[in-house]
Amino acid sequence: MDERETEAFEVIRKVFAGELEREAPVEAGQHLRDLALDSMEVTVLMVELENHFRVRLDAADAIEVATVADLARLVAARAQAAP
Amino acid sequence: MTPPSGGGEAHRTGPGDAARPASLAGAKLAEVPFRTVGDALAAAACSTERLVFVDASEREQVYPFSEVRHRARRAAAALGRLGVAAGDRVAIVLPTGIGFMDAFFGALLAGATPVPLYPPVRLGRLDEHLRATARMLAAAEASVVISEGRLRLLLGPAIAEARPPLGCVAVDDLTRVTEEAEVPHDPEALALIQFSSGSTVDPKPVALRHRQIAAQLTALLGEMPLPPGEGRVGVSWLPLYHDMGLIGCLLSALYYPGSLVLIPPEVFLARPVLWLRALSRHRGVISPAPSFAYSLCLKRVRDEDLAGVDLSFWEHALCGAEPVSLAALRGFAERFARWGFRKEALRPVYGLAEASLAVTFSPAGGGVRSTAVDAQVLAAEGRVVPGGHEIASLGGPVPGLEVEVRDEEGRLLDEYQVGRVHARGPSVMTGYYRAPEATARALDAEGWLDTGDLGFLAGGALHVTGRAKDVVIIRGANHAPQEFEECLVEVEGVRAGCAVAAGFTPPGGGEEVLLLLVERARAQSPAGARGDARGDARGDVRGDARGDVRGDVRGDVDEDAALEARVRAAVAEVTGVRPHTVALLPPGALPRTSSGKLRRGEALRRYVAGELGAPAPTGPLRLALAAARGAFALARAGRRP
Repeated sequence: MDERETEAFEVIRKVFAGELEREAPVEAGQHLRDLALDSMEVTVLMVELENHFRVRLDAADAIEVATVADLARLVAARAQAAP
Repeated sequence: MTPPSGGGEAHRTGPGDAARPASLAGAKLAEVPFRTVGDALAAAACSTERLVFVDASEREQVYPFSEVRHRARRAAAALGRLGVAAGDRVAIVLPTGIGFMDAFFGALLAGATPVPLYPPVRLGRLDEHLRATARMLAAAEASVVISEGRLRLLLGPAIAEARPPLGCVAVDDLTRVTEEAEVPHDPEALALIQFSSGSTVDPKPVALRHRQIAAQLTALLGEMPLPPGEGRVGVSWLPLYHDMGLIGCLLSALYYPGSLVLIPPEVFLARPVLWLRALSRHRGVISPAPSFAYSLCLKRVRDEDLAGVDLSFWEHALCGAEPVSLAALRGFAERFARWGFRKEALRPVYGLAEASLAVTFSPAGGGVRSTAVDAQVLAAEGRVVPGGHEIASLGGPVPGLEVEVRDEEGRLLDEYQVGRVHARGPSVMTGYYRAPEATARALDAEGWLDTGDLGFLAGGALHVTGRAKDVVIIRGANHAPQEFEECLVEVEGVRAGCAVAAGFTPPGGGEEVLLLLVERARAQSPAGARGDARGDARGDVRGDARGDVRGDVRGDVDEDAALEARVRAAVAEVTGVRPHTVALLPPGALPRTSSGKLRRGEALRRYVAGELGAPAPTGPLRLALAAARGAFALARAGRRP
């Protein structure tokens, strides 16, 4: 993971531990599916990531995202591309 | 804390004390100020009132209604040029923003009927969304879809399936023209089609005429009279594809007229404090929300984010769209009193898309009221006797509306008897859009709407106790149980087609949550139902492999925990709703009709009454087993106990 990915991963962890109230820390290799997120939780996670990195995520992004690490990578790549 | 209002009154069935029929009528409806939405928009455009859009960073964009109207007239001209004719249905898939207003009012001023649909959730299951969108486009027979940018590309497959004749257009292209147009409106024309449940299974398009919406808005004005002049401000984070956000907030702002501050729903979910801060900043007088929003504020709003916040202008804190949680509302009132919130402002309300919106309203300034009943007698016999379980009072009918509670055969019941809630009045729909069979099930010849909800009348107020229709309401959104049940078809270890989804209030109160009653496939049956597995290859192998009882038990616990985790993950992934409780049952435990159809209502009743499934654990081993099973399941699903 590069610096930006690590930062994204840390934000994801923080949201899970805070807003989403998960007791066990999330791991990079975990599948989002296994975390059984509901639509409100997904929304909270997305809005927090968007705010932090000033990026836009949308429904099509789900196609390339299976694990927590995938999500961190996607956000990092978007942030890189953003002006 | 407001004391229960009806505790003692539930005795009112003694000799000589004639029971009153379960029938209530609201006040006479005042004269309707505007016959159509177009007339109301024209009048609002002459005022200084405006729409304010708040983003996640609390930056604001302001559009006076005069500008909203000019933009809408341009959009109407563009739609006309595109080929949209009066009477066409125009589907709208847009987030909260000025673009939604352009599309919605543009469609209306073009003489068409707007059909707002929900946009996809980011990172959600796009295929499920596309399937639901295609169904709803087909059900409404939409002639065109209005969307924007990348969202429009994402919708491609749904457009390809439903094939609206005029395709899918970007909202930005509609306001680029300089020409304006407005088709004169007929109060009998359809002003809106809203879906009572955004369902992939059986979408029901509720068709509402201008005169029905006008009657609803006039009733709302009657329930919440505001003095003319400054300070007529509403604040809403509710989605605009939902009746409470669209009719209750946006269209009522036109009818007052008043200003409306809009926060996108996803921004509220991530930062609930923005709702309270917007109410304070704009001195909001009216703001409605489902119970869960009040809970979310309790849980996620931090004191330090409320510096300088003043909620004392908030006169009508309406609470509806899902069963009212008394605990959430009382907790909210207590906590936010420090910031000027008055508990008397809370008004639990009841309504449904088929009635345009509101059916009953708690009286202004009355705060939260309830009737205390015996929950066991209510669950088992449908009778109301005094007890320790509080049920929220939802007030009396709004002006123009009538409410009755009837038995299964349609006979009028008395007060304190639980039955089906019926409503009639000028804001009730004439029917679902081109769905005569569904309409015939919902409306009788006298115009009475069977709401599908169960409840009783007491002390001049409606109390809702449950639901006869198969609908699960999570955070104000209606779901068909099939949406959840279908997710389990492919889950290994679930007996095919043998699962029931239902909404229920968890023990200890709170908002409605999702309950799944799931039968295990035979090979997966644990100790209690092991008999079923005999002769089955897997059961035999397991029996051979495990000599001692402890190994066997642990295997069952593991298997059940794994099965429960699979069920939870499958449902959350496909529907975006996380089950609250998954009850695994032995094969054949769910009640069925003689033709083999699952009886959802009866399954729920038996579950709540503790009559369903395997016998309750008794000995120490079974208790430990049950506890371990619960702990395993929670750990696997990553949830807190």
